[in-house]
Amino acid sequence: MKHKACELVHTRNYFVEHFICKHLTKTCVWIATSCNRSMSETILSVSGLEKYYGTFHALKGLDLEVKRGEIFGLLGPNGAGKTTMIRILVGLIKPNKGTVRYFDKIDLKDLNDALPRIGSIIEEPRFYPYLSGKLNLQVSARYYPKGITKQRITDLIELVGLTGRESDRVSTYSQGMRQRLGIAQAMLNDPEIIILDEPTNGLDPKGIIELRQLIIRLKEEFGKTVILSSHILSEVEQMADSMAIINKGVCVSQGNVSELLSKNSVSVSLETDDLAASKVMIEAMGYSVTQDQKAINFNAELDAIPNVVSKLTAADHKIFRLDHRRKLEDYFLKLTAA
Amino acid sequence: MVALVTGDLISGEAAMGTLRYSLTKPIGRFKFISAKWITAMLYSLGILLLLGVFAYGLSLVIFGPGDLLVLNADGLVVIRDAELFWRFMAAFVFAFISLTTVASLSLMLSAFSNNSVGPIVLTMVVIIVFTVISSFEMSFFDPIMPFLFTNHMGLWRRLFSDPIPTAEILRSAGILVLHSLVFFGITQYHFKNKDIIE
Repeated sequence: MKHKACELVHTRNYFVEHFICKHLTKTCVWIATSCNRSMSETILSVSGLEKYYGTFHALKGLDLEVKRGEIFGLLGPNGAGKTTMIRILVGLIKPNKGTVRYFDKIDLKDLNDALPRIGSIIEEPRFYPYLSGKLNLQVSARYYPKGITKQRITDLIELVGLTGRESDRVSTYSQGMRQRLGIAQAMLNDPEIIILDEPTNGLDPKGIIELRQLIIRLKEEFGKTVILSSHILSEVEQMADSMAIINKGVCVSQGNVSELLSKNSVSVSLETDDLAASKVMIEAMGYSVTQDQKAINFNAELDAIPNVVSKLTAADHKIFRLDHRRKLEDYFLKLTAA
Repeated sequence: MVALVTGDLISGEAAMGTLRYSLTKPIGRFKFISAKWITAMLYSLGILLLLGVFAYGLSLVIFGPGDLLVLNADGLVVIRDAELFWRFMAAFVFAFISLTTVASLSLMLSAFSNNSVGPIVLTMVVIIVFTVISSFEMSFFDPIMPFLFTNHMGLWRRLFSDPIPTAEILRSAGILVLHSLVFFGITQYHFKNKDIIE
């Protein structure tokens, strides 16, 4: 009896130990991850990058810094140099000048040491059309010296929502499915950085939403750093934590998306009981105001809005609605107009 | 056939867009080109083996075993049955060296191009033009004759001469190997520094 009781105690102890171990590990991982994030480790830094195509100066001393665990948006009009920079990052193009440093220690000349930790989609993903999605992934997997398990390929197919179609030829895939297969290919080596060049190009709205959700999942669930180039402003605004705007081969702005946008005026729409009187009053505060049938609209610094509201309410104006939008379009156009 | 396949090995991938995906993997360009070159060699060898088996096998079936009568520049040569197999083998080894040169040339042109048809056509044009020049008996072309690799490619026929001009055959084989190495070297150098912008 005593013996059985001992066994029970031991068994309980084992479960308790196991429970503590499991949760301690989870806690340690959480603390480590949090520390890592709060340390804001620079995972990629680009400095003074220059590239000539003949006499055309595509990149004119580009500087960038990407932190670990963030979605980094690379914005710029067509021909700004985004794709050139991304191709340099993955070693497809050699720069004429400047440095690229991954993980704070690996330069471009040793890029092969960094590539096992990087996944990428350069422009639209391309596959062998006569092979199935799964076979394409298996072919790509052979490039990695440490090897990729079959289970990893199956897991990735599931992650990108291609289960059931993985044995079909890629030539039968829609653009959205190819894009998702491209993400699976980029994720094969469980990379720390995923570089996506114009990932939503050619996708229908449903495909764009699915891809956007997948990219956010990559960051939030898997802790990946995603570098995303796009000329679709809303795409970057919705997904990115930080961004850089490139224009004519130089970086004209870089920083946290919300901070960058909050530094700039916002577009305010205001609905009051007396639009005409409110308009006069706001104009008296020095703002340029337009009025339509339902509301008055003006641009103001974000910090100045409470002041406007308090002055209107002090003058007995009834405010029914106040909207403000941080307009990335305005900011983008301001920086790239020249 | 060799030009058709090897001319497409790099440019075909560039045209399909898969080249940029292969090169963003941690393998290095030297390894990539070397793998393509070895594939080109294996393919040439495969074609040659197939041809050899057919040629030798069909000859045996149609004409049966025995001595071989060969009509060449030296006149009528009788090759004894006992010597026939190794002479055939030596001729195929020489032909393999020749095809290696064609494959290396085609692969080199493929590295310079982003479309599949160009390198294939250009390889054929080079071979045809060189062969035509080689066949002209004009002193005007004499200075360039030793540099035309096609001049050396037909020397497998001399393995059915009596006696066999061993020194001449080895010299030609050496020149062909040298051509292959130069083509391979140019391919590696060009590809190492090539910007992949397609």
